[in-house]
Amino acid sequence: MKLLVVLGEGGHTKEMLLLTEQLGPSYEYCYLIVKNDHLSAEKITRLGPIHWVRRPRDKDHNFFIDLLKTIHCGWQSWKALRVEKPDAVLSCGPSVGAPICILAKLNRIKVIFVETGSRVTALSLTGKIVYRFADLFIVQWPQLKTLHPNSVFSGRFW
Amino acid sequence: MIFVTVGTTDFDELVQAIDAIAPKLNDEIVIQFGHGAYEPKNCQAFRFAPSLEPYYEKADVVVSHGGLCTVMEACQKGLKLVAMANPDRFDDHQADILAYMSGAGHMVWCRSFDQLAESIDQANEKEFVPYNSPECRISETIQDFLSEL
Repeated sequence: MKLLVVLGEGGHTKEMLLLTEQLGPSYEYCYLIVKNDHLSAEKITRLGPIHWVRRPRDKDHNFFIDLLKTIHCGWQSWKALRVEKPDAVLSCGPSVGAPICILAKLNRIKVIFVETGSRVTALSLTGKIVYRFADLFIVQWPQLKTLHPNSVFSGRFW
Repeated sequence: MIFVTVGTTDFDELVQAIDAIAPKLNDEIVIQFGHGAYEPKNCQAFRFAPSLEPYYEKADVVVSHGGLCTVMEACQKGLKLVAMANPDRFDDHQADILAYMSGAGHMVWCRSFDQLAESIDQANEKEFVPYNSPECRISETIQDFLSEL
Protein backbone atom coordinates (compact mmCIF):
# COMPACT_ATOMS: atom_id res chain seq x y z
CA MET A 1 0.00 0.00 0.00
CA LYS A 2 1.39 3.38 -1.00
CA LEU A 3 1.06 6.54 1.08
CA LEU A 4 1.73 10.03 -0.24
CA VAL A 5 2.88 12.09 2.74
CA VAL A 6 2.78 15.89 2.72
CA LEU A 7 5.69 17.46 4.60
CA GLY A 8 4.66 20.99 5.58
CA GLU A 9 8.00 22.35 6.85
CA GLY A 10 9.37 22.75 10.37
CA GLY A 11 7.41 21.09 13.14
CA HIS A 12 4.75 19.92 10.67
CA THR A 13 7.41 17.89 8.88
CA LYS A 14 8.53 16.45 12.19
CA GLU A 15 4.97 15.35 13.04
CA MET A 16 4.56 13.54 9.73
CA LEU A 17 7.98 11.90 9.89
CA LEU A 18 7.31 10.72 13.45
CA LEU A 19 4.12 9.22 12.05
CA THR A 20 5.90 7.44 9.20
CA GLU A 21 8.36 6.00 11.73
CA GLN A 22 5.46 4.69 13.81
CA LEU A 23 3.54 3.39 10.77
CA GLY A 24 6.54 1.28 9.88
CA PRO A 25 8.19 -0.17 6.78
CA SER A 26 5.26 -2.22 5.49
CA TYR A 27 3.97 0.76 3.50
CA GLU A 28 5.51 2.37 0.45
CA TYR A 29 6.09 6.10 0.93
CA CYS A 30 6.35 9.09 -1.38
CA TYR A 31 6.44 12.74 -0.42
CA LEU A 32 5.15 16.16 -1.34
CA ILE A 33 7.50 18.89 -0.14
CA VAL A 34 7.59 22.69 -0.53
CA LYS A 35 10.18 23.72 -3.11
CA ASN A 36 13.59 24.50 -1.54
CA ASP A 37 12.64 22.94 1.80
CA HIS A 38 15.74 20.74 1.77
CA LEU A 39 15.69 20.50 5.57
CA SER A 40 12.52 18.41 5.33
CA ALA A 41 13.92 16.20 2.57
CA GLU A 42 17.08 15.51 4.59
CA LYS A 43 15.08 14.31 7.56
CA ILE A 44 13.16 11.58 5.69
CA THR A 45 13.99 8.13 7.06
CA ARG A 46 11.45 6.00 5.17
CA LEU A 47 12.80 6.80 1.73
CA GLY A 48 10.67 7.35 -1.33
CA PRO A 49 10.27 9.70 -4.30
CA ILE A 50 9.88 13.40 -3.60
CA HIS A 51 7.64 15.78 -5.51
CA TRP A 52 8.38 19.47 -5.04
CA VAL A 53 5.54 21.99 -5.04
CA ARG A 54 5.08 25.69 -4.59
CA ARG A 55 3.83 26.87 -1.16
CA PRO A 56 0.28 28.22 -1.72
CA ARG A 57 0.54 30.95 0.94
CA ASP A 58 3.47 32.97 2.18
CA LYS A 59 3.81 35.49 4.99
CA ASP A 60 2.93 38.34 2.62
CA HIS A 61 -0.73 37.79 1.96
CA ASN A 62 -2.31 38.93 -1.27
CA PHE A 63 -5.52 37.17 -2.23
CA PHE A 64 -4.92 37.21 -5.97
CA ILE A 65 -1.29 36.12 -5.76
CA ASP A 66 -2.16 33.42 -3.19
CA LEU A 67 -4.85 32.19 -5.59
CA LEU A 68 -2.34 31.90 -8.45
CA LYS A 69 0.13 30.11 -6.17
CA THR A 70 -2.60 27.72 -5.01
CA ILE A 71 -3.51 26.90 -8.61
CA HIS A 72 0.16 26.28 -9.41
CA CYS A 73 0.53 24.09 -6.30
CA GLY A 74 -2.62 22.26 -7.35
CA TRP A 75 -1.20 21.57 -10.81
CA GLN A 76 2.05 20.23 -9.33
CA SER A 77 0.11 18.14 -6.79
CA TRP A 78 -2.03 16.72 -9.58
CA LYS A 79 1.09 15.59 -11.45
CA ALA A 80 2.37 13.91 -8.28
CA LEU A 81 -0.91 12.01 -7.89
CA ARG A 82 -0.82 10.89 -11.51
CA VAL A 83 2.75 9.60 -11.21
CA GLU A 84 2.46 7.96 -7.78
CA LYS A 85 -1.16 6.71 -7.75
CA PRO A 86 -1.12 6.39 -3.94
CA ASP A 87 -3.73 4.49 -1.96
CA ALA A 88 -3.99 7.37 0.51
CA VAL A 89 -2.75 10.92 1.04
CA LEU A 90 -1.55 11.77 4.53
CA SER A 91 -1.37 15.44 5.50
CA CYS A 92 -1.49 17.83 8.45
CA GLY A 93 -2.22 21.54 8.86
CA PRO A 94 -0.15 23.66 6.45
CA SER A 95 -1.75 25.07 3.31
CA VAL A 96 0.44 22.96 1.02
CA GLY A 97 -1.74 19.98 1.99
CA ALA A 98 -5.05 21.49 0.87
CA PRO A 99 -4.81 21.17 -2.93
CA ILE A 100 -3.59 17.58 -2.90
CA CYS A 101 -6.27 16.53 -0.39
CA ILE A 102 -8.99 18.03 -2.59
CA LEU A 103 -7.55 16.47 -5.75
CA ALA A 104 -7.14 13.09 -4.02
CA LYS A 105 -10.77 13.11 -2.93
CA LEU A 106 -11.93 13.97 -6.45
CA ASN A 107 -9.95 10.98 -7.71
CA ARG A 108 -11.32 8.58 -5.07
CA ILE A 109 -7.98 8.38 -3.24
CA LYS A 110 -8.41 8.15 0.54
CA VAL A 111 -7.63 11.33 2.48
CA ILE A 112 -6.17 11.01 5.99
CA PHE A 113 -5.67 14.32 7.78
CA VAL A 114 -3.93 14.72 11.12
CA GLU A 115 -4.49 18.23 12.41
CA THR A 116 -1.24 19.60 13.74
CA GLY A 117 -0.83 19.48 17.50
CA SER A 118 -0.26 23.24 17.53
CA ARG A 119 -4.02 23.67 17.00
CA VAL A 120 -5.58 23.30 20.47
CA THR A 121 -8.87 25.20 20.37
CA ALA A 122 -9.59 25.68 16.68
CA LEU A 123 -8.77 23.93 13.41
CA SER A 124 -6.37 25.40 10.88
CA LEU A 125 -7.89 26.81 7.67
CA THR A 126 -6.68 23.71 5.83
CA GLY A 127 -8.22 21.56 8.56
CA LYS A 128 -11.57 23.34 8.28
CA ILE A 129 -11.59 22.71 4.53
CA VAL A 130 -10.45 19.08 4.65
CA TYR A 131 -12.71 18.16 7.61
CA ARG A 132 -15.67 18.42 5.24
CA PHE A 133 -14.52 15.46 3.13
CA ALA A 134 -11.61 13.60 4.76
CA ASP A 135 -12.00 9.86 5.07
CA LEU A 136 -10.16 9.96 8.40
CA PHE A 137 -9.70 13.24 10.31
CA ILE A 138 -7.55 13.03 13.42
CA VAL A 139 -7.19 15.76 16.04
CA GLN A 140 -4.58 15.87 18.78
CA TRP A 141 -6.55 17.70 21.47
CA PRO A 142 -9.84 16.48 22.99
CA GLN A 143 -11.26 20.02 22.81
CA LEU A 144 -11.27 19.73 19.02
CA LYS A 145 -13.00 16.34 19.12
CA THR A 146 -15.82 17.99 21.08
CA LEU A 147 -16.13 20.75 18.48
CA HIS A 148 -15.81 18.42 15.50
CA PRO A 149 -17.59 15.17 16.31
CA ASN A 150 -16.63 13.43 13.05
CA SER A 151 -12.98 13.64 14.02
CA VAL A 152 -10.99 11.07 15.96
CA PHE A 153 -8.85 11.87 19.01
CA SER A 154 -6.03 9.34 19.36
CA GLY A 155 -3.62 11.09 21.68
CA ARG A 156 -0.76 13.33 20.70
CA PHE A 157 2.71 13.03 19.20
CA TRP A 158 4.09 15.13 22.07
CA MET B 1 23.52 29.72 29.83
CA ILE B 2 20.45 31.09 28.04
CA PHE B 3 19.74 29.31 24.75
CA VAL B 4 17.51 31.06 22.21
CA THR B 5 16.02 29.08 19.33
CA VAL B 6 13.66 29.92 16.46
CA GLY B 7 13.60 26.40 14.98
CA THR B 8 13.56 26.10 11.19
CA THR B 9 11.91 29.50 10.65
CA ASP B 10 12.92 33.09 11.36
CA PHE B 11 11.89 35.45 14.14
CA ASP B 12 14.03 38.56 13.76
CA GLU B 13 12.15 40.60 16.35
CA LEU B 14 12.88 38.04 19.08
CA VAL B 15 16.52 37.68 18.07
CA GLN B 16 16.99 41.47 17.98
CA ALA B 17 15.25 41.90 21.34
CA ILE B 18 17.49 39.31 23.02
CA ASP B 19 20.58 40.77 21.37
CA ALA B 20 19.64 44.21 22.67
CA ILE B 21 19.23 43.11 26.31
CA ALA B 22 22.13 40.61 26.25
CA PRO B 23 24.68 42.94 27.88
CA LYS B 24 22.34 43.42 30.86
CA LEU B 25 21.45 39.75 31.31
CA ASN B 26 24.79 38.80 32.90
CA ASP B 27 24.79 35.31 31.46
CA GLU B 28 26.21 33.43 28.48
CA ILE B 29 23.70 33.62 25.61
CA VAL B 30 23.67 31.45 22.50
CA ILE B 31 21.19 32.18 19.70
CA GLN B 32 20.06 29.82 16.93
CA PHE B 33 18.50 32.25 14.47
CA GLY B 34 17.42 30.06 11.55
CA HIS B 35 16.60 31.86 8.30
CA GLY B 36 16.55 35.26 9.99
CA ALA B 37 17.95 38.36 8.29
CA TYR B 38 19.24 39.86 11.55
CA GLU B 39 22.58 38.49 12.77
CA PRO B 40 23.22 38.99 16.51
CA LYS B 41 26.13 41.19 17.52
CA ASN B 42 26.27 40.68 21.29
CA CYS B 43 25.87 36.88 21.54
CA GLN B 44 27.26 33.68 20.11
CA ALA B 45 24.97 32.75 17.26
CA PHE B 46 24.43 30.23 14.48
CA ARG B 47 21.71 29.53 11.94
CA PHE B 48 21.29 25.77 12.15
CA ALA B 49 22.99 22.77 13.70
CA PRO B 50 22.63 19.02 13.10
CA SER B 51 21.23 18.76 16.64
CA LEU B 52 20.29 21.27 19.33
CA GLU B 53 20.72 18.68 22.11
CA PRO B 54 24.15 19.96 23.26
CA TYR B 55 22.66 23.43 23.74
CA TYR B 56 19.56 22.16 25.57
CA GLU B 57 21.82 20.17 27.90
CA LYS B 58 23.86 23.23 28.81
CA ALA B 59 20.96 25.70 29.02
CA ASP B 60 19.56 26.96 32.31
CA VAL B 61 16.75 28.72 30.44
CA VAL B 62 15.52 28.26 26.86
CA VAL B 63 13.88 31.17 25.03
CA SER B 64 12.03 30.19 21.88
CA HIS B 65 9.35 30.90 19.33
CA GLY B 66 6.01 29.22 19.86
CA GLY B 67 6.60 26.39 17.40
CA LEU B 68 4.93 23.15 18.49
CA CYS B 69 7.96 20.90 18.26
CA THR B 70 10.27 23.31 20.09
CA VAL B 71 7.79 24.00 22.89
CA MET B 72 6.70 20.41 23.47
CA GLU B 73 10.17 18.92 23.31
CA ALA B 74 11.50 21.53 25.75
CA CYS B 75 8.62 20.87 28.15
CA GLN B 76 9.03 17.09 27.84
CA LYS B 77 12.71 17.49 28.73
CA GLY B 78 11.75 19.54 31.79
CA LEU B 79 13.61 22.62 30.55
CA LYS B 80 12.82 26.08 31.90
CA LEU B 81 11.14 27.58 28.83
CA VAL B 82 10.14 31.12 27.91
CA ALA B 83 8.34 31.27 24.57
CA MET B 84 6.88 34.01 22.43
CA ALA B 85 4.31 33.62 19.68
CA ASN B 86 5.69 34.59 16.29
CA PRO B 87 2.99 36.92 14.88
CA ASP B 88 4.12 36.07 11.32
CA ARG B 89 2.62 32.59 11.61
CA PHE B 90 -0.77 32.18 9.96
CA ASP B 91 -3.73 33.09 12.21
CA ASP B 92 -1.19 33.90 14.92
CA HIS B 93 -1.72 30.23 15.79
CA GLN B 94 1.31 29.85 18.03
CA ALA B 95 -0.61 31.65 20.76
CA ASP B 96 -2.95 28.65 20.97
CA ILE B 97 -0.35 26.17 22.22
CA LEU B 98 1.39 28.78 24.38
CA ALA B 99 -1.87 29.68 26.11
CA TYR B 100 -2.50 26.03 26.96
CA MET B 101 1.02 25.11 28.05
CA SER B 102 1.59 28.26 30.13
CA GLY B 103 -1.89 28.02 31.66
CA ALA B 104 -1.06 24.47 32.77
CA GLY B 105 2.16 25.69 34.42
CA HIS B 106 4.60 24.01 32.04
CA MET B 107 6.35 27.15 30.74
CA VAL B 108 6.32 30.98 30.69
CA TRP B 109 4.50 32.73 27.84
CA CYS B 110 6.14 36.11 27.19
CA ARG B 111 3.69 38.36 25.36
CA SER B 112 5.84 41.38 24.54
CA PHE B 113 9.50 41.97 23.86
CA ASP B 114 9.87 44.47 26.70
CA GLN B 115 8.93 41.68 29.14
CA LEU B 116 11.69 39.30 28.02
CA ALA B 117 14.17 40.00 30.82
CA GLU B 118 11.43 39.73 33.44
CA SER B 119 10.15 36.48 31.86
CA ILE B 120 13.63 34.95 31.93
CA ASP B 121 13.93 35.86 35.63
CA GLN B 122 10.51 34.34 36.24
CA ALA B 123 11.50 31.11 34.50
CA ASN B 124 14.71 30.90 36.53
CA GLU B 125 12.83 31.10 39.80
CA LYS B 126 9.68 29.15 38.96
CA GLU B 127 8.94 25.50 39.74
CA PHE B 128 7.24 24.26 36.59
CA VAL B 129 4.57 21.56 36.47
CA PRO B 130 6.09 18.52 34.71
CA TYR B 131 4.56 17.85 31.28
CA ASN B 132 3.55 14.27 30.51
CA SER B 133 2.33 13.53 26.97
CA PRO B 134 -0.81 11.44 26.63
CA GLU B 135 -0.48 8.04 24.98
CA CYS B 136 -0.22 8.35 21.19
CA ARG B 137 -2.38 5.93 19.18
CA ILE B 138 -2.42 7.93 15.95
CA SER B 139 -0.46 5.38 13.93
CA GLU B 140 -2.66 2.51 15.19
CA THR B 141 -5.77 4.45 14.21
CA ILE B 142 -4.40 4.96 10.72
CA GLN B 143 -3.22 1.34 10.39
CA ASP B 144 -6.69 0.09 11.39
CA PHE B 145 -8.27 2.41 8.83
CA LEU B 146 -5.91 1.33 6.04
CA SER B 147 -6.31 -2.37 6.84
CA GLU B 148 -10.01 -2.10 6.03
CA LEU B 149 -9.48 -0.65 2.54
